[in-house]
Amino acid sequence: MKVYDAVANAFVKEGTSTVFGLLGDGQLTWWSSIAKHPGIQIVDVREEGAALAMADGWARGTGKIGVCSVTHGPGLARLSLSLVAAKRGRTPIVVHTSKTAFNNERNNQFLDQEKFVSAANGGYIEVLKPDFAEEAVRQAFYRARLESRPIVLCIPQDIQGKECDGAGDEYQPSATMFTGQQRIRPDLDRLHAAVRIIAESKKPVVLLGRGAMAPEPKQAADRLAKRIGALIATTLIAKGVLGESEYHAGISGLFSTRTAMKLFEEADCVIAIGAALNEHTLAGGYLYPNARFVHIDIAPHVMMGNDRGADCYIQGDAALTAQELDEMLAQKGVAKEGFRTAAVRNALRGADRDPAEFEIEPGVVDTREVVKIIDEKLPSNVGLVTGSAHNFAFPAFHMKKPRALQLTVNRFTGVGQVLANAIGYGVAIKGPLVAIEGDGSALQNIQELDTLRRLGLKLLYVIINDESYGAEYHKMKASGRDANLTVVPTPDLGAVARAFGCRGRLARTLEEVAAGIDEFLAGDGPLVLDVRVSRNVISIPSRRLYFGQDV
Amino acid sequence: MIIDIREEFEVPASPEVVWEIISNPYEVVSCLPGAAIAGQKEDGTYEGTIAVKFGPTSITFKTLVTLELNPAAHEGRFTSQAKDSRGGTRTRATATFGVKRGPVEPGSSVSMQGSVEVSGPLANLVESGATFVIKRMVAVFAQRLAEKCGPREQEAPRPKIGLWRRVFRLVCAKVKGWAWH
Ligand SMILES: Cc1ncc(C[n+]2csc(CCOP(=O)(O)OP(=O)(O)O)c2C)c(N)n1
Ligand SMILES: [Mg+2]
Repeated sequence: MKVYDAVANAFVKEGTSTVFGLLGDGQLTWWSSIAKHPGIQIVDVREEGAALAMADGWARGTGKIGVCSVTHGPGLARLSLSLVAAKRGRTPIVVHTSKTAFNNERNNQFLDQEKFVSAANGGYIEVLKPDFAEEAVRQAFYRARLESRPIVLCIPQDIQGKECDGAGDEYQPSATMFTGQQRIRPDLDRLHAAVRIIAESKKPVVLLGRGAMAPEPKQAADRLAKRIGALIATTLIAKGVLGESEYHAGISGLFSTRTAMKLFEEADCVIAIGAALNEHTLAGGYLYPNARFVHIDIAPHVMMGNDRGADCYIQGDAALTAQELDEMLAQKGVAKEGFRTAAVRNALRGADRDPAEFEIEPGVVDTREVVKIIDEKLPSNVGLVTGSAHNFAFPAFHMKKPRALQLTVNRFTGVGQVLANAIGYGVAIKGPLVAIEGDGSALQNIQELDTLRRLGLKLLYVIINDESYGAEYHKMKASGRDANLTVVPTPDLGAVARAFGCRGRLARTLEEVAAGIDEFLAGDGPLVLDVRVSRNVISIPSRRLYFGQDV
Repeated sequence: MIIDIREEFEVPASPEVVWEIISNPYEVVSCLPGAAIAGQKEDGTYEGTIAVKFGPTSITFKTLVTLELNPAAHEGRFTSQAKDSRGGTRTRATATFGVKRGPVEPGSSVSMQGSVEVSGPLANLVESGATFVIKRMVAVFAQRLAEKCGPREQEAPRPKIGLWRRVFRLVCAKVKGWAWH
């Protein structure tokens, strides 16, 4: 059996169903081989970094290992940002690539690939003998799952066409050795210590992170929170989880409402479930000045964002630990009102209202109103993908409808990653979604509208267009520099979308925004909505950070 | 994060009157809301606290301040080391200050020069917002200083354009220190 056939077969046996990639000399053999397998979907992407970002979004949407294929040298070199982002987001991905001829560094496409990949935080496995090829695939998938990061698997051109003893249908996929994280039962002593802290507390907060977004931990956390009268809060990534609760205080951190911050100040206990409690969630360690921390995570230990350990750290599965705590507290007869009073409920209602007024010039709209319309018009089965820069604070603050499907693309905060992640996510969830990104970010990967059109996904791509690098605009302004240096006009991106064969619209009024969303809902396939917004509207976190405002 | 301080503002009182106040840490503290002196150590350093509001977050710093004065020249130098009680933010500030006769009688011009180094979580959290926080604190300080200098001068001191902001930075970091230190 040829190495490329053995490797392609092994990918399929590992469960590969969708490959995001872009061709080059390095993968012609493997690509042809895997394409012959029934049921394999190959997505031709227009740029390699975007292909990896799509594999990232796909993996987040399916919970499986994403697969991306790029050619050696220049193809691989385009992956840098997406590799780092996937590692930071802990997404398991196998990147298939090649290598130029051995012992020839003068080859045009030569690159010191291992060094490059390791600098971008990826793992690297290279096949040097044909008989290692299948084992290499197994190791790549095994390590991607175990290390939860991208692993680059290199099948050099000099090896691809050689013969090897392929196992064919007998191939043992890596999942037969390791299926994924075990459900760790928490240690009893730690549980007792946590119960003591929680039983003594009068104003507890249950803080949910990415590790508590699945239905089981979510329900367990809800029961626990009800028993002890806890306020619910989430990390930015887990935004909206348990959003139907009347005692939901929203995001914990700089993205907290003022009302929530006041309540957090009163809190005497924080029970963090599946949340790293990083410096963002704790606002540098200043958010819960009077609280003791019970920190639940699957890692042996996690240092909190203020470089301290929790008062009680419990290594354990989120759902199991929350359940056990709830049961132990029930046995002790603990049931309290805590934060769950009418006064708190009333304070939280409308806490996200932002009374600040900004002058809105003709032909542009207020971003706060735009995201509110999006939230109202799109039912909760429509997934949400957001990114970084200035604009993402608006959906974070003002979109409240609980959405089971959501993806925050903000690790490493590289801009221009939202569209590609959303496409991968859309392929995975096979349902409608909205992706929100800035104009500067959109133009970093606008070519992927072509991939989007070919896939025909039901995706509403909202470009919050302030015709500037808004994050920089507000920082320049705050520091007394020339903010106009950040302004770069854009073409009508609705028209650009139409040229790509997507539906597209330019919106300069709120009515046009609403009409665009209606058109999206009524028809099939993607729609790009270029919404012209005012640079005068500053998000609440930016007002706090850059202008020192008490808002 | 390093904040440079280069500030100057005017107070409608004679340099002697202004110096009396500005060289007395207890008087300085009374011009700074949220600041207090806990005591003086044997080596002469002052121990104090100051609460600073960054956005909706209020942070209390403990500070140690050393003050060197040259009364004849109406000049002084202070250094402060401050840390906050929870988050592990540290600041170190060094600055010189002086009072000179101002352009209008009776009037003084107060100047400060130095820098504040901020490390720890707050450095990321306040970004350029610190400038505005300081600006507000300096405005309050200048106002209270003017009030202290004599009831007859109602006007707040008028900083030259652009000065405030810097003063503030000064004060901010210093504030803690200024709680003086
Ligand atoms: C790859 C990359 N390049 C540059 C930056 C710096 N950067 C941070 S935010 C931002 C603004 C992006 O502009 P836009 O997408 O229009 O978003 P806005 O801030 O205007 O909402 C930039 C350029 C970055 N984070 N990542
Ligand atoms: Mg922009």
